[in-house]
Amino acid sequence: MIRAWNWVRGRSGAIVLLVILLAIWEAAVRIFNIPSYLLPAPSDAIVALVNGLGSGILLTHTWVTLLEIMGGFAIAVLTAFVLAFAVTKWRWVEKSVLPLVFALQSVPKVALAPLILTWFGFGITSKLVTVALVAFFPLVVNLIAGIQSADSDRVDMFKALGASEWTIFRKLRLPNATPYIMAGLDIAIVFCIIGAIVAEFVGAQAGLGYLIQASAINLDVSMTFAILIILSALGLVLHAILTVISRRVVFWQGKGLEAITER
Amino acid sequence: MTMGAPAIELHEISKTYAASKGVAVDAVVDFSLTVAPGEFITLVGPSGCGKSTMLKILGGLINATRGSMRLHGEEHTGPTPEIGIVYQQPLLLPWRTVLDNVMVPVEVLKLPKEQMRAEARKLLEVLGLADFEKSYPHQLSGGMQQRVGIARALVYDPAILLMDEPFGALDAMTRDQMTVELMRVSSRFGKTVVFVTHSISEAVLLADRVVVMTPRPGRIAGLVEVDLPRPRDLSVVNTERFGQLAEQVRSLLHLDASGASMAPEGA
Repeated sequence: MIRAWNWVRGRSGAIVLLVILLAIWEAAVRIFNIPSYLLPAPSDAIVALVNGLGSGILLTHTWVTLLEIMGGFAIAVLTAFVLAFAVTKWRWVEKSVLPLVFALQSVPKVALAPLILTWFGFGITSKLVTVALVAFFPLVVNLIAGIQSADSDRVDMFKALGASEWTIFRKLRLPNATPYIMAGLDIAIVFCIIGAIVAEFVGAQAGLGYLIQASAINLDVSMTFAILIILSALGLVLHAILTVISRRVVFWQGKGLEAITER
Repeated sequence: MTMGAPAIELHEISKTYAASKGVAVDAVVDFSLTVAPGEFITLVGPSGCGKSTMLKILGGLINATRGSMRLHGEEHTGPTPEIGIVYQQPLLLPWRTVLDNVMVPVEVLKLPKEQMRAEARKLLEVLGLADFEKSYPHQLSGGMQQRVGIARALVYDPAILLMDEPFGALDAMTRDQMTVELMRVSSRFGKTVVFVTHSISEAVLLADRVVVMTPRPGRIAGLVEVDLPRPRDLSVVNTERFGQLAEQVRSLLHLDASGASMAPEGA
């Protein structure tokens, strides 16, 4: 309770600003009589949110989008780990595959969404592929950077014991990469939300992206805002979960480990 | 292992690095030395005299360009559990507790874990870290971290201990304390020790024999037998004999006899 209060106090400036902006918005819509199919008042959006949640329609579509995000995320994480293993284990993979991966990084992955739709159809498969594709690159880049960040002195310490590359990977490179991995996961999860919504825009039968398009066609802009609120909340919750996990996993990061070197 | 064989025999070890633009740089030239089992050797010399290179060659981390090595009578070519190394930095793994850091070699060498864990605890106790086995490296002082590094080098009971300026990064007081502790621990475990340092007094205080090296390329400038009685403590530094021995080392290093000690290494 006290922690929650401190949290609020630490952000009081932002909260006050938000309330003021919402009040101006609400007032402007009412004073200038802006029609709700152009810009609904915040209160209309809240009403649409409550009604949508009550009827179950928002929850159903949120669930679909969440499944796409989590599924695509999981695929991306697995593929990224396999590639990272291969890159560390075989030099030819590093020489041949890695430059291609870095080159492909610059391709805007969401631009591929229509193509993926053609290949994988309107079902969940095309969404999983798009999400995985979008999340894969920040993950792999961070993972490989992390693995390569192990300092040569510690690598030597293992080598002097006759450790194999695989042992060094498991006992040094991978744990050493966890701060990078956690940062990669955090970036990737936000990308996943974007990927899922874009994939649904391009062609879907369910999901929050599909619902945004449907509500736009019906000129139900209050509903669109209600969905935006849900998407923001989703992003915040997923980010918060990763932050909590990160604090537990990399508790040792930046704790003045090499204090001994600071002379 | 051959009975009665020297712990370490180095025969005309040379190391040449291929520097940029095809210029070869000699780091170590014709380094020959025989070390008896249980002997404490200190290797002293100015910055860049190749003493750390020599230690890496001994540890099997880099290959010599020429020459041969034997440990206890047997050809020595690469990493071996006969050798334990204490590095300039403790090189602990920050995600592991003190005890688990000491257990790293046990895991790598696939030794029986349960039995070795008891061994590791005993070592931590000897090194005054009994209450810290569950602590993480970042919770320890520099001196304590380096003691964990020493425990890690000793846990699999190697016959030979290589130490690469292990106290170089510590403050003067901690350094003295660690030196005394090292003398206690090394005599207790009867290890053959090769200790690299750039401090003349540290070299004389610890050694049975001091090996003095010349600046690059590193050659042996001379050996100084240290006949100070053991066990020693820091007060031995004030004796006349200690002064004479330090003076011998200093003259081999061609340093001013006025007593100016060597500047600390920048690296």
